[in-house]
Amino acid sequence: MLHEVGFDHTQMVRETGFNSSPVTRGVLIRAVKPATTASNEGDNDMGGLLNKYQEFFDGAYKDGALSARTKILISLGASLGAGCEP
Amino acid sequence: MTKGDHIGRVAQTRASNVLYGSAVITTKDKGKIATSINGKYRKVAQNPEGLFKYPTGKAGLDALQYDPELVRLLPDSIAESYCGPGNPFSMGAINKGESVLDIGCGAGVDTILAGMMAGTDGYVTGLEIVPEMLQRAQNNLRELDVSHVSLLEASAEQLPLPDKSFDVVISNGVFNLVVDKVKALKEVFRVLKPGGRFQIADQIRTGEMPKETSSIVKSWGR
Repeated sequence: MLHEVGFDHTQMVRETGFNSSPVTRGVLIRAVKPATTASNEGDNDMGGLLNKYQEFFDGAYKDGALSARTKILISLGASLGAGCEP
Repeated sequence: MTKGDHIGRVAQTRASNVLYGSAVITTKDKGKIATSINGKYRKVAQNPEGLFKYPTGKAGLDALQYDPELVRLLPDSIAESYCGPGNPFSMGAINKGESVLDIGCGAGVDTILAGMMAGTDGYVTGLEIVPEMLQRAQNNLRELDVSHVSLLEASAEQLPLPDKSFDVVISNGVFNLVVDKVKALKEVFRVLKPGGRFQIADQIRTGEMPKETSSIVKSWGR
C-alpha cells in the first residue's frame, strides 16, 4: 500500500511485542518519500510552472526575518481563521 | 487560536464508501466505527491503564525502550497517559530543527517527545480526532514549556496542512483504526517534504478479515 502511494525504501522493521489481540501484531514500519517525484520533476510545461511556484513557496517559507516555524504557524492560523477547508 | 490553546479545529467533510475485499464500508458504517472508537478513547483519555493488552504508561515507555533521558523529563501525569504499541523513534530519532507531524497523537506523549528532540528551532504538530484525547493532550502540553508544539483536531484522511511541510511524519497505533487507509497514506505523502521520513508503529492483522461488512465494522480496531 505504501508503494502504491509512492513511498520508497518501505520496510517492516520488526515486531514490537505489543499486540492488541490474538490476531494482530504490533509492528514498526518506515518509508521514505523519494527526493524526486513526478510532481516535482518538471517533465512538462505544467510541471515546470508548478516547480516555479514551488520554488517561490519554498523560498517564502525559508528562515529569514521570521523563522520557518513562525511562518508556518502564522499561515496555519490565518487559514483556520479564514475558515479554509482543505 | 487563543493564548494557551494549542488546538486548532477543522470541519470535516463528507466521507465516501471504502472497499474491503468484496465488503463495502459505507458512510453509515464509518459513523458506527467512529462511535465505537470515540467510546473507547474517551475512557483512554482519562486513564489507559487496563484498557490495552500490553503495558501502558511509564511501563510501556520503558518496555519499548524510549530514550530514558527524555522519559525522565515527563511528569508522571503525562507518562501515565501513554498507550502506544510501539516506539516510532526507535527507527530514527528526530533531529534538531526538524518539523514533525504526529498523526493520531492521542494524549500527545510522542508529540511532546518529538518536540523535545526537534528543539525550539523545529516545530511539531499533533493531530487527533477524538476530542477527549485532544483535550488530554492539551492538558499535557500545558504542563511543559513547549510553545513550538501545537495540536489540531482533524482526521488522518484529510490533513488540513500544506504540501511538503514536514520532515518527518510519525504515527503510533492509529492507522489500524483509519477506514480509508490509502487516502490517509496519500495525505502523509502529500505533506512530507521530498526525502521526508514516515515512521509508524501500529497493529497489523495476521488472521483473515471477516467477509461480512457487519463483522468487519464490529471488529474494527480489535
